[in-house]
Amino acid sequence: MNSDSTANTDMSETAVIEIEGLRKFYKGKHRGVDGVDLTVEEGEIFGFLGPNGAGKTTAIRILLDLIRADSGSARVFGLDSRKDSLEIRRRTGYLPGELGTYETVTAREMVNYFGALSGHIDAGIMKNLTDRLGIDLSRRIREYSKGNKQKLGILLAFLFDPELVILDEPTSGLDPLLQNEFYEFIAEESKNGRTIFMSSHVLSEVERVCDRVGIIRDGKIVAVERIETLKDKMGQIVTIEFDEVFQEDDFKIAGVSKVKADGRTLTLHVTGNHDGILKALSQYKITRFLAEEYSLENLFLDYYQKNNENNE
Amino acid sequence: MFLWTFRRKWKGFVIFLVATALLVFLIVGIYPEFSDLQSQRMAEALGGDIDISLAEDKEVKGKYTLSWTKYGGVDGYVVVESDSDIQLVLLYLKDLKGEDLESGKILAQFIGGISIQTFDPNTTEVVLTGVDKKYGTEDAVVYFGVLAFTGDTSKADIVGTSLTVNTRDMVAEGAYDKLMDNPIMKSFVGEGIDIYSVKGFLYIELFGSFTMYIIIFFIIQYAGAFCNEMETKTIDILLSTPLRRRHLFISRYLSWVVLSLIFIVSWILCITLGVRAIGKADEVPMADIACTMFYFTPFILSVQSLCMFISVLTNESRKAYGISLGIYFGMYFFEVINGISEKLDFLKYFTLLHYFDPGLVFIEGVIPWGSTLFLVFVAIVLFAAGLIIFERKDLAA
Repeated sequence: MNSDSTANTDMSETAVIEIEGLRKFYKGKHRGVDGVDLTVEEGEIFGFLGPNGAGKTTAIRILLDLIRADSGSARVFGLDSRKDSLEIRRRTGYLPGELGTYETVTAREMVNYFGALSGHIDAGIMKNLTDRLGIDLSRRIREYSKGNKQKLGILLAFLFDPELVILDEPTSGLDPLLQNEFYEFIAEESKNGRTIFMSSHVLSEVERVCDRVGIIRDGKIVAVERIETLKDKMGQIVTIEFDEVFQEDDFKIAGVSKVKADGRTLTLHVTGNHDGILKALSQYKITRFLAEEYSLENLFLDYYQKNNENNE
Repeated sequence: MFLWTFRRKWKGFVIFLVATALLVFLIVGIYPEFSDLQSQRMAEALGGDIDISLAEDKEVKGKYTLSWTKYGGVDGYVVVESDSDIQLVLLYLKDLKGEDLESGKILAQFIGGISIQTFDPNTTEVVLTGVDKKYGTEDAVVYFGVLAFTGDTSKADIVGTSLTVNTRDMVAEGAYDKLMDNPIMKSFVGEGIDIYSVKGFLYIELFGSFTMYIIIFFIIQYAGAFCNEMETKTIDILLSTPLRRRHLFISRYLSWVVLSLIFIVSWILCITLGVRAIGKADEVPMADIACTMFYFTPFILSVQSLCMFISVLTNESRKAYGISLGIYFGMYFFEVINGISEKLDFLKYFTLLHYFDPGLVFIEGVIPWGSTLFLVFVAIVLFAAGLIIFERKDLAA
């Protein structure tokens, strides 16, 4: 990170990425993105969440001027992604979803080449990443496994100490141990003030590392939330087994949704505090009470279902 | 960019460079043997041992001296002269004896255009005059044959044959021109080239078919220039760095230009060394070789621009190779059609080969500046078109 960059843990008010009404249709028909609005603040780790084909990669490629939008605007560091593309790319590292490599050269040769193209190589970052991820730069790339290529891609994205790093499915091909190492690394980088914009369809990693998340579906943003807010919304899934017959209506109370009764078993989605539900339970004998965190995955599906219902 | 391109592909380039250099050297080295073989074939084709000679008088036009080695124990010589190939006449007379020979001579003369004279056994030289006016045109090729006969007891021997033009050229014009009547061959190697001269041989063997294969190699390299990057997705990370698209396009183009020039210089050296090795350096000076090889540059540039233009139009290397090679072979096809049909003559203007004539430069030492500049113009237009498309192109994932 450049020395003049502000190291902070809190989100700054400065928008690094601003996308407004971004629309891109390939060959006039196939939808890429359809009216995306999004803002990513300086120093945050922003998760761009959506299934394959939702439009994540299209939006990212427009930011880097690899493709051009039909309408709308995309600004990075306050600069137009099209007109000021060179300046943006000078300050942005990128890991594509499918990393292309030059198979016949060694990893070191490729690193040196991309370092030269990017302006310089940050020796500290290079050492940090090669040590942490265990990258052997002396080998020819054609000898690399998919995971090793992904590690090289991560190194290339951070190599020249960019202010913003855009990562498209960064942990694809990494084993769980390396994934953890990577999560720790980007958390540290974020603390140092680096902005990280990562797309993913792995909800657990977004939940674990991101400050905010944007959910995209069919080319449209369906939600942008802070992870904490999402977690609040997620609440818990409570499963209760009763020793006697119960009235389902007793549990239709504020903060409780998705009531599902099956014999003497009741399943509830509870957000906020559990006061209401405990009061309702006090009139019954229960044999089992189980409270589980509502996963982001479930929430993700909720958003999708809501969106489907709205569309219908 | 050049060093990066070279670093990634240096093994292939070096192997190709060494292989082509050796091949060039080998082709030049073949010439002496090829030349001797042709002389031998000519002798076999005409019959006799060619131990006769025909000398043209430098002062009197149409005056020739025909001389031959004296045969022992013969009764006389028959000299046959004609403006058409006398091989069959000689073979016919050779099998006749005595009176049959005399009647055969009359018969042969009756067929027309043939003059037959008999000389005594001590004759080894006859002077022939007015040869240039006997056959209607001064350019007529006149054949001479000498038979040694021994009365009526044995068959005659063919002492030898000769003709009023260089015999090697004659064979070249005969057999080779028949081959060159084929428009397909014309489109491949050009017209009016004497394959039996060292320059003609080098032109046909090196600048004809060999060049075609070299250009195919270049096309495969050029056409894949961007498609391969798109297919392997390396273009994504390349253009995510602060590298302008135009910078990438131009530097990739220039990388290929430099590599092409390396190939050209290596071939100049190999041809020159080869020509020196066979002792023909005076007939093929290095300047002629260098001039011809550098004359290839505008053509290679136009092919390169065409291929890069196609490469940026499509995202698939297979398509780019197919279209580029299709266009290249299409050019030859247009050349062939041009030789077959006058109605389709206009098609020749749509092929780059029409504007490319290395024979003119190498054999006649003339640089066709008009067509050369046109090729440069085509190269610039296609380069600019390719660059504009590449600048605007969506590099979809």
